[in-house]
Amino acid sequence: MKIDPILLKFPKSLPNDEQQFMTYYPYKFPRVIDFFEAKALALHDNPEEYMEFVHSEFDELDRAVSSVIDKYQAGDQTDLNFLVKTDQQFNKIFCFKFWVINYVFADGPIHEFYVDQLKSFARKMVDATDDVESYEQQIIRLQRDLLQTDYADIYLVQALHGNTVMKFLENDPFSKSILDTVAPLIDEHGESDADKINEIWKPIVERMTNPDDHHYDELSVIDPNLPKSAPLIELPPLVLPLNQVKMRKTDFPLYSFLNHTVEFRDENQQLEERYEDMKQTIAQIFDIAKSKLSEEEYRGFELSYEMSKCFSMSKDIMGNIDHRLLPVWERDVHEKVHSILSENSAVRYPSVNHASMFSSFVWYLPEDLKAEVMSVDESDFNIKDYENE
Amino acid sequence: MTKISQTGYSIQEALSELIDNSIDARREGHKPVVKVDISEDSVVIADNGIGMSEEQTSNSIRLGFSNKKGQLGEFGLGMKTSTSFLGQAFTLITTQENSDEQYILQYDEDEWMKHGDWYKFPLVVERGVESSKSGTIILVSRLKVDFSQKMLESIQEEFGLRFGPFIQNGELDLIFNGKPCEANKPNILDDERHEFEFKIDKVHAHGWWGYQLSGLNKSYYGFHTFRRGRLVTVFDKIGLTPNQDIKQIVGELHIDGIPITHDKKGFIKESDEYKALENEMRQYFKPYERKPKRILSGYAASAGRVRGTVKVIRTLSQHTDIQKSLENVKRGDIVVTEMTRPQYLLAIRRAAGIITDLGGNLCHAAIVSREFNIPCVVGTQNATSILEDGKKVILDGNEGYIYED
Repeated sequence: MKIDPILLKFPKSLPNDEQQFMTYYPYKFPRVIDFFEAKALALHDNPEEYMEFVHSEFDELDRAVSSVIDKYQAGDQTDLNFLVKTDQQFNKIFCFKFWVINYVFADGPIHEFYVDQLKSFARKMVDATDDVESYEQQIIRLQRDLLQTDYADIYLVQALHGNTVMKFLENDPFSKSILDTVAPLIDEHGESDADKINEIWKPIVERMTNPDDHHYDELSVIDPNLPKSAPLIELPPLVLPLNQVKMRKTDFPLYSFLNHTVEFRDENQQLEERYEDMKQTIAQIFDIAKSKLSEEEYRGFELSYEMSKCFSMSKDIMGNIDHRLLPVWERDVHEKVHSILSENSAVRYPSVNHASMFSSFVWYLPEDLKAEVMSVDESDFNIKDYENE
Repeated sequence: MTKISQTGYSIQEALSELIDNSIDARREGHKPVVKVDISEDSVVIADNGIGMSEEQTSNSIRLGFSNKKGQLGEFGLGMKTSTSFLGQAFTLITTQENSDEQYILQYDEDEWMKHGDWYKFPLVVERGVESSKSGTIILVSRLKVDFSQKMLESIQEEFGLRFGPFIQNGELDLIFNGKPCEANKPNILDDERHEFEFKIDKVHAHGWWGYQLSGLNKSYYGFHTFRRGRLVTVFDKIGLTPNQDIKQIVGELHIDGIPITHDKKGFIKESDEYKALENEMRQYFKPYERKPKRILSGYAASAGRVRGTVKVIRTLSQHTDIQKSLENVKRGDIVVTEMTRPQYLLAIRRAAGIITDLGGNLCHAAIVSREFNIPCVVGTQNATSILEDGKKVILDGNEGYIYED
């Protein structure tokens, strides 16, 4: 199985490019094209090396973003020049370190190629029958399972975490009594009774946010890696909501997490069962592949599956930057730029858009800043540029 | 018997014949309990029915013999053909209530081929059996068929379908490999069932019908037909047009007065009685068979069909309060948006389906909808323009279409 070399070239368009980065980035940062094509040629058929690449790119993304955020927080946030410069730095980091992996690779023609290969192999793996519909049905199911893989992405992990938290709530007598009160309210009224429901959760939330609360011996039953009498905040499923509590300076994310854990408890249980079955299902599919495909085809099948899975996994890895990058870039820098520019003009401001500087603000910038934004940056990305400043 | 066993049975049908016999043998005042256990080398079917006398046991091996006139096993082929289809040998053990005798019959295909004589088949009588015991066990060995995991799952599903009415009415406990079989229930839209009845001369047919959304196998619609309480045909299209799609008619039809084939697998369609009923039903169902209007198409990102109320979330408009739009999504709604984002997770969890303007096979909406197993159509270009909040639609994630409901 050989990939057409044309698919290793920088694509002309991407299917999920709602923010239209393709309109700006290849022109603003033309070196990204060579960067992508070199990596595509070297890594397109090597899952292990591709994942190493992803991890190293994330490392640089993380360091570069941290550096810019630190400087932003120490700088003059009322100065339009400074704000635009910060935005342009974010754009360059985002283009080379995030967009290439999450969009050009993961949403691009190389991933499409492997997905198409999986679909073709699926047709070869299902026995044709007189019943055409039954045959097509089996193919659709097989394709669906192959695309889903046995990888638990960030959404599934959240659902599985919900199950862990439910186990805790059900096993701890104090929490159980609160759960028994809250669950019927959530099932019946949803968020219309949010204040009343959150008031009932309060004692648990207080314990969850208290690092000195060591009364939960049940934790080690739920998570054997935790020592007995560990504080509740060390329960892994609570790490993300507690991070959000810290970042947003409100307990709301934790209340939200608890409410949704209860609301979707049955669905989360089904997802966990499906996830457990999926590992076995994928193993069975590989057995079928081995028996139905030639040796060469099987190697192609294996590669297609692994590369597809890599592209899915890489999205989650890169997504780990969102909770630090987005609040500063979109909700802070862009809002300040919009605010300054709006003093003199009615500035159109599409919500949630990394590319707002190119698509919206540039039209209202002073000439020198307009020129800066719309000028080509011919340099490569170099992490040293961010660590030396 | 070897030839008779090659009569075009499926494994499910062969097993069902044996279960039918067990149901026929039910004791007055006792709920029939039938256990089916399948292993690599044997199939065992055991019931708590009335059991057989010595004479009945001897006669049971004779082809064509049946004293079950008017009952499910009236044509006398069931046990012999079924067991012969499944394996090369079987053992039958039976005892009646208030008897201390147990009768054991052993059949071996190879032995019978050498010296077979139905009238001289060896029967073993064991005495000292507990008199309160009653029932029959059939053990089939030297299996001729393979039972893969998928086949076992398919058998369990089939049992739920074929014996569903009995199970649902509490008339049967059917235990398959240690697990009780559940009655297969169609997913009727809005739970609306319409009763109907036809009386034409000696033919009496009655039942109910409702709408369902077509599944991956579009031919699974129509009626489950019954005669004397026993399932005769499944997904029978009597009176319906072929190739119903999207919104299909399903239901139950109980028929008396139409002749049945000798293998009990169908009604005689050439009979005047059948044709008369078919005609009546065709006239009746004509106004109810309608295909919904297709209003959008896109890429089928996640399989399944669902019906729901549209909730539009506009992300790229500066005039929208996205948070409020997300909170407005209720369970069972269909989320319509330009493209989903991680912030939409709660709305997605509540949604029955997703439709987007943008995206392809690998977009966020496609990934999360496959993850959460909800139907999804992406890349429609203009779903957010055409669909409004509150509109009822049918989302076809198998083919990539959206229909007006």
